[in-house]
Amino acid sequence: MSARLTHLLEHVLAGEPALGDEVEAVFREAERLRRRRTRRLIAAGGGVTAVVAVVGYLLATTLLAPAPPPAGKPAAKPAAPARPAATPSSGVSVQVVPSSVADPVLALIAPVVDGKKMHIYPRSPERGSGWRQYRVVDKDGKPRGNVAIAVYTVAEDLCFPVLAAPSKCARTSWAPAGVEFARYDDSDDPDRQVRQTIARRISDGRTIALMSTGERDTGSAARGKPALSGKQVETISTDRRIFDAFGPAERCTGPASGACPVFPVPVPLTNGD
Amino acid sequence: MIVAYKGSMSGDDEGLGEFVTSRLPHLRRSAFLMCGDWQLATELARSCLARVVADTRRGAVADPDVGAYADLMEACRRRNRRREHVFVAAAGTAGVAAESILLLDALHKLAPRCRAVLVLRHWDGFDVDAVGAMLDLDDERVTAYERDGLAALDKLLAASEAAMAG
Repeated sequence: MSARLTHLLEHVLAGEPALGDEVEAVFREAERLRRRRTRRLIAAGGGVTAVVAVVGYLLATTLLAPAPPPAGKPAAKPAAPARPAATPSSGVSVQVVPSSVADPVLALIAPVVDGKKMHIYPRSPERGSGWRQYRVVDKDGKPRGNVAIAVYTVAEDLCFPVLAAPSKCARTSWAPAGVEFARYDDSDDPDRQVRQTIARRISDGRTIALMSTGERDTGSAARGKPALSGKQVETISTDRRIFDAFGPAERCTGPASGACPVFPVPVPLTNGD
Repeated sequence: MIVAYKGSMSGDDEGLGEFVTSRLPHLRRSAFLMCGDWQLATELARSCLARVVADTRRGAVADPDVGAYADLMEACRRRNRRREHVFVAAAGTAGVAAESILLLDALHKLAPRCRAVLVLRHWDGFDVDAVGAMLDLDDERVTAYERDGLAALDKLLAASEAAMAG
């Protein structure tokens, strides 16, 4: 059958039409194919470029967007960096600054506050030499009190105060890195709740006073609760990083300076300090 | 019988022109045996050679013969699904012998793969290896298709001749 098939096939092709200019047509079609492929390649390249640009733009806007300001806050103005000097103000206007602002002190406090689904930002007057003040709001923008921190230099041994016995010194606790501290928490008055810790680094006498006060006169113990717990205040104020978060020359000049925050339990300073 | 192309296929137009001129008639005849329509066969042969030329110019063809015939057989297989007529004569040609029509009819009663094997082996004269490469079949399958296709074709032709004689 094989040889016969070959023979038969030759006869089948008897009426074959002439090729004409089919060879040229092949090259014309090849050229059309090449142009079509080039166009497709360019279109694909353009598409990929567009996709990369869109994805890049979305990533950039997502990752670089500032944290949204707390809802319902009266001072919903654009974020601004903390000013270097204090500007005392009698009002309660605040600046909306992300908790992660480049303030070394705030950088240590903010994660704790953020972890409680709250937001902390500088309040006016927000800072001076050796002190900072912050405002805290909850996720709904409701005020949750203030946080104030100050650093002192107490060269001599510090007598941690005892409010009930002004002539005595409090028994201190010890934190790692040679830090002694005492806590002064006061929740007796639901309208004026305070969590305060005084911590002193014994190596150089640098002393931190940190307090978290609840919103005042709310008439409710829950609503007047400070943003930070006593333990959190203690942890932050005994963290060795907080002592170095202030500038080396910074020191709070004491309540007499006016701008330095007034603590319920002030750090006792001798004349030499 | 197709002889393997020995010319330069490095993408220069002279070598490609030589290749196209030598291969176009063969490809068109093979396409006609596959589809039974000279016009369609011409289009298929032109298209597949154009693709080979375009691919060769960008250096994407290892064996132009295998590439061209594989492309042609695949195109015929796709077109064959939509085919309605067994045989379409070229315009202006004289009458075709009844024997040729019977053969084409018998060929088109075979499965497309089987028909492709018979055309490539017995018309184009490719060996089993080359046919396997063109149709993506192993050698045993090619041999089996050929054996079964020849037997079936023999039976079909015998039946047709008997009917003609009767």
